Amino acid sequence: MTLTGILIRVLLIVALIMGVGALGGFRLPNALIYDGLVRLTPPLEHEAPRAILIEAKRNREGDGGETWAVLLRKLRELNPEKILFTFVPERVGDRFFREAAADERIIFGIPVTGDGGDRVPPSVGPGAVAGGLRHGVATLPPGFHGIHRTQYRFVPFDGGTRPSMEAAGAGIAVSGDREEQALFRVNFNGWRHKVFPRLSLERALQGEIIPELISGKIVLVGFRSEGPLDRVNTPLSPHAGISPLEFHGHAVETLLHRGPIREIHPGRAAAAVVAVVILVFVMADRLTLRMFFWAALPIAGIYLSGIWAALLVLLVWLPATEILLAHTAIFLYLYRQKSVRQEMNVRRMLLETSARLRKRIFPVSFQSTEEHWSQVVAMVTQTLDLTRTIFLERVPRDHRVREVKAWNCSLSDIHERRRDYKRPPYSTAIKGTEPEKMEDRLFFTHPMEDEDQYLVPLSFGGQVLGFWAYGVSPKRVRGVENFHRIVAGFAGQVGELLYRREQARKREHSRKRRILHRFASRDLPGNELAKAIELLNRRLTLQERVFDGVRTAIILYDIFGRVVQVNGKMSRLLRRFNIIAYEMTAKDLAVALARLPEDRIRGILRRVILSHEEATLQVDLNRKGEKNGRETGMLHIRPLLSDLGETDAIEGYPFETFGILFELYELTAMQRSHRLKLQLLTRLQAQLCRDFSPIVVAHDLLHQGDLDARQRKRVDSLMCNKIDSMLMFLRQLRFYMGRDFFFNTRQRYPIDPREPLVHVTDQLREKAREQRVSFRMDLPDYIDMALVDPDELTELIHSILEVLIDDSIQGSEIRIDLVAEEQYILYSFSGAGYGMPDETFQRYLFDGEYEAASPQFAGLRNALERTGQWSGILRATSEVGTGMRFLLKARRLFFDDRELTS
Amino acid sequence: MNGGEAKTVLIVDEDRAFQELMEIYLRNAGYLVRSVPDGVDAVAPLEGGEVAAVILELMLPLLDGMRLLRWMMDFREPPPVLVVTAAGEESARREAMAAGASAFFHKPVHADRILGWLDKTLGRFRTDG
Repeated sequence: MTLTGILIRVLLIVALIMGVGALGGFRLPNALIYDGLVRLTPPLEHEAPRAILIEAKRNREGDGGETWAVLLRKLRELNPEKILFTFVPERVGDRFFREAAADERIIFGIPVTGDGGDRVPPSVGPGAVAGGLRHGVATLPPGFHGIHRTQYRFVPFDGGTRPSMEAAGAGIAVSGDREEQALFRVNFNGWRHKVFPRLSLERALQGEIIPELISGKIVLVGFRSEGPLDRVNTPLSPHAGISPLEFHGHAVETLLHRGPIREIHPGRAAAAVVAVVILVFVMADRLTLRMFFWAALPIAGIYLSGIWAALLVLLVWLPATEILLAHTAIFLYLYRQKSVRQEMNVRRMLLETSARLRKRIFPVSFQSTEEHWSQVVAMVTQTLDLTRTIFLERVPRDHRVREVKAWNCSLSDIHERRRDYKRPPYSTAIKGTEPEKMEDRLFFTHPMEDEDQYLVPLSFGGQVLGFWAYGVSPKRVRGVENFHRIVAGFAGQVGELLYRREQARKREHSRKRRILHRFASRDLPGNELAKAIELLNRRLTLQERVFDGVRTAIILYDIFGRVVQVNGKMSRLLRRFNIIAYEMTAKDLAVALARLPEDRIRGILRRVILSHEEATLQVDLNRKGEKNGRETGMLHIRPLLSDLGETDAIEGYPFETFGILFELYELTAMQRSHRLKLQLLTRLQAQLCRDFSPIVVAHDLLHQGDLDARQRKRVDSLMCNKIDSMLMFLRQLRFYMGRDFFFNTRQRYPIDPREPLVHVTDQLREKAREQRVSFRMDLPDYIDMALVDPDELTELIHSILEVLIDDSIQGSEIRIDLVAEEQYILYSFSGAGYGMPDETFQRYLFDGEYEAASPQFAGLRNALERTGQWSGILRATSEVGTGMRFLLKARRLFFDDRELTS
Repeated sequence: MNGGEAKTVLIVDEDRAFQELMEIYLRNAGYLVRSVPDGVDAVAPLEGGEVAAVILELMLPLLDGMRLLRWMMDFREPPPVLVVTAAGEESARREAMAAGASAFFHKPVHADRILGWLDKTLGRFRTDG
């Protein structure tokens, strides 16, 4: 709707409200609100009552001069502000009236007899003095719904008006004759818990009047209330009521002191309502839908408070109902307009987003040919070794299916009655979780030998778009593990293809009937977006899996350093160091990994983002809970830069850098490999020197020339052997140095046999200390190399020492020896512990069916099972009360042809 | 060669070829030579007291050369020890010399240098060559 349309509707609403108000439609709610606000008004402590009531019994009206003249005299002596008789005393004599006429403070209220048109004009005193007496009409206006809020200023009589007793008391002369001026609202503000002082006539006559109580006050003389029917309900006491004398007291005090409550002029009331409407308009324009909603109620509260404040301070009564109703009605109207507009925007955005997503996910060219269906059929048929296959799609607005693509069959092979997808077997297949096997009634009309027939629904985004029927040999189904799951996987993919096909067809259709297509369904944007999101979700899932499957540990940050994605390798790696990537910014993680000052890391990241530089930092961390579990790595930080060629993809993105990529390379294994290679190199050098040494000595001997023939022959033989040995050694050198060694390759490699011992005892030293056990290692300074799988050997030694630590008694030593003996490097481990019967011990270690005594034994047994792969041999013995002993043999490295041929 | 009674030199080296060739060389030079392949085998002749000098390889299979050297240095009159080793680390030289070795040669080494050290150490001097 246009703004003009909205404005017109708003004006109509305002006019309607004001019209109803003018016709008195809101009198009752306004009266109720007025009463409520009056009652809420707190007592005004500084304002003491200015009136005092002298109450007489009704039957004393005719007491005559002895009562009323005496009373009047006593009151006049006390100097009151006004004396109001709400009646005209009888049998009081002329003197009484003359005195009253002479004192301008004395006013008489002349009650009317009868009501309405039968009112009788009042008569006051004897004719001689009547003209000098001040008097007014003592009466009450009719209440509205039983509540008296107003009093007459002028009482209408026979086409004219007379002042009310209160007006006469306030000295208001008879003026206008308009009815609206004739009434005034009695000001009850702050009188909820206050009453006028009262005095009975008897006490007044007896002289028990305190002068201060009368002096300067308005004295009302009247009759006390004689029952519930003789009471008047007011806003202060809508149910209990007050006496008419009290009401006159409020009314006269209102005119003389409190001031009457004025009602706002209708023009100003309309202006107030318009102001309210304008404010609601401004709010609707400036605030969000949510804020607009939540602001409405407080604003209404503010209006009510303002109305109350105006009543209390300015003594003005505003049209509360009209204001609140205008506010509410315009708010509801504008809220609806705003929400409808917002919903339309969302719907348009959804449609546009869906279109954009589709465009990004599917290349337009994909659907331009049917050729890909042939490829799909060929692929599934060959992969699953199907005997025949057919893809069917649902015909829109029909119960039938039609052929998309088939191999070795066609739609005509399906019986006419079996093409209704509302009926079995389609309906059964939709409910099933696996391909539905056609057992009772075959799907294809011409069954083949050795063939089972299946039907699978093809769904996408929760909607069944078609079906896939195929035949396959039962042997094939049994022979392929998870055959049905593979089929389900294909079905999901083909379902997506069907969706694309449907979309392509719809787009073609929409070119002709674009508008109809767009508004065909209210749920169109939602459906479109749901499907687009499903496609995007699949694509994202695939990308996440690829990201996760990357073997390098990576984290992607946005340019503000917040984590966007972490791959599995990185999560696992960081968990070992007790680091949770998602809780850290790029800067924090870089600081934790590289152990560099924050300022330096900040500078590096700044250069990465702004200058597009790359940085590589060394990483040196301790593994969680392992004092000696040091890991070495390399952290590569680089920016992800936008490809300026694909501006569509980065539309609206203000930065050239999309994010920061952290790549963490774990170099611990590589470093250890490097160390082992260095050790090997050192040993090879030593071996070279050792082997070359006899050749030098032989040369010296031959050069000396004083050898006899036998010696010469022997020297010659030794030298030739050594040269052969060296040639073999050089071949070995090439063999080992050319081997790429990593721990996960499970291959034998020459290592310093002391290295795993030092490594494992470092790892377990803390645990040993907790058990109060120490290691005593007697390692030779020089020992030949062992040819082992370093990782397996390390794990085995670790398991052996764990078992020994658990078995050892406190304060004992675990003795570790290492020697080279003949073909082997011998590791010996023994502990003084509790031990166990050797038979049981052997079972724990070598009998796979015997349950391991502890996780340590289980670990040892696992490691033992693999020792054969690297030619390790373990022997172990145990004795109760003595402890355990392990003897591990690893192959010793000989630099001759034994290794190369093994 | 000038000298009196032939003195016994003990060669402790696992390399049989080196042992044998050095035996020929030193015997031709007038020394009595005894060879053992390991530190363990060297204990008996050393305790026998007939060894005048020791040619020691540090890299030995069972009882390595450094331990044997330290053990010998506990003798009341330890024999002079010439370490001739293929262990190439400089730390090996420092350690051996600190442990009491008289001299240290890296392999490969010419036999005449070993002989020269023996002659000098055992107070013999050569008139020929």
